[in-house]
Amino acid sequence: MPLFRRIRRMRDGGFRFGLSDPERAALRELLPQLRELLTDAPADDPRLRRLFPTAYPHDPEKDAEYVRYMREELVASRLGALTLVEGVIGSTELTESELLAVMRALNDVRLVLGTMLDVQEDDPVPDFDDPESGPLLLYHGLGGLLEEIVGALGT
Amino acid sequence: MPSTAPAELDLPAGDTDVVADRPWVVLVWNDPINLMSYVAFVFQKLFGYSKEKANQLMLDVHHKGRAVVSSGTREKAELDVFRLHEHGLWATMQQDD
Repeated sequence: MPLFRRIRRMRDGGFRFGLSDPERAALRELLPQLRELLTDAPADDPRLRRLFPTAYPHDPEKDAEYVRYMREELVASRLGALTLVEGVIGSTELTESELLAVMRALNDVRLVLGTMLDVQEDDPVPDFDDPESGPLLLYHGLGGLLEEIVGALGT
Repeated sequence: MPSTAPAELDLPAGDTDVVADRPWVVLVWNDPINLMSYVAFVFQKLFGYSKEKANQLMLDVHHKGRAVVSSGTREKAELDVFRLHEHGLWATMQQDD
């Protein structure tokens, strides 16, 4: 376990949210992009595929019904979490429900990014010196942060 | 097993009722993006499973490609699928066979 953790449960039940300024700036840039994708992109945009999986793969009729009733709810739920996160992105302390919203929003960004990069399970670790691997480094950076958040929430 | 057939068997076949009564199962499928720790945490949080049970289900998803994470009526299964989709997990539902 690293000596210095960015995310840590505190004695009062809240969480330390110790991101660096560049990390906060990166999130301030990424989150509106997710919002734009959710509000403006067509429903069948391939980048959104992992955010809206098929509920009934063997029954197109029931699936169409699920999409009709649930899609809008799913979008609203994601936008709600995004709004919450955008409001606390500069904070150094978060409540549990705020950190849960951060967790969901980061996971959504990571799902979109991973889909765009076509990430596979056995992909090699990216070359940190190669400027071409920028988006992949961001993807892995988000994964590291998410891992810390889940670890803190689980304690 | 009773040696005489129960009375119900003499009634006209009510296949549709039997189909409607079969429970629905919610499956979560392996995917290369979601973190293992995240998946296990979501199982704990959404279903109230112990850390051990959530971890075992996550490992089943990872190694066997999928796992049944909950079951019940169609309404309950659909709500569970929705909550899993809210958390970005690849969840589907089908009637048990």
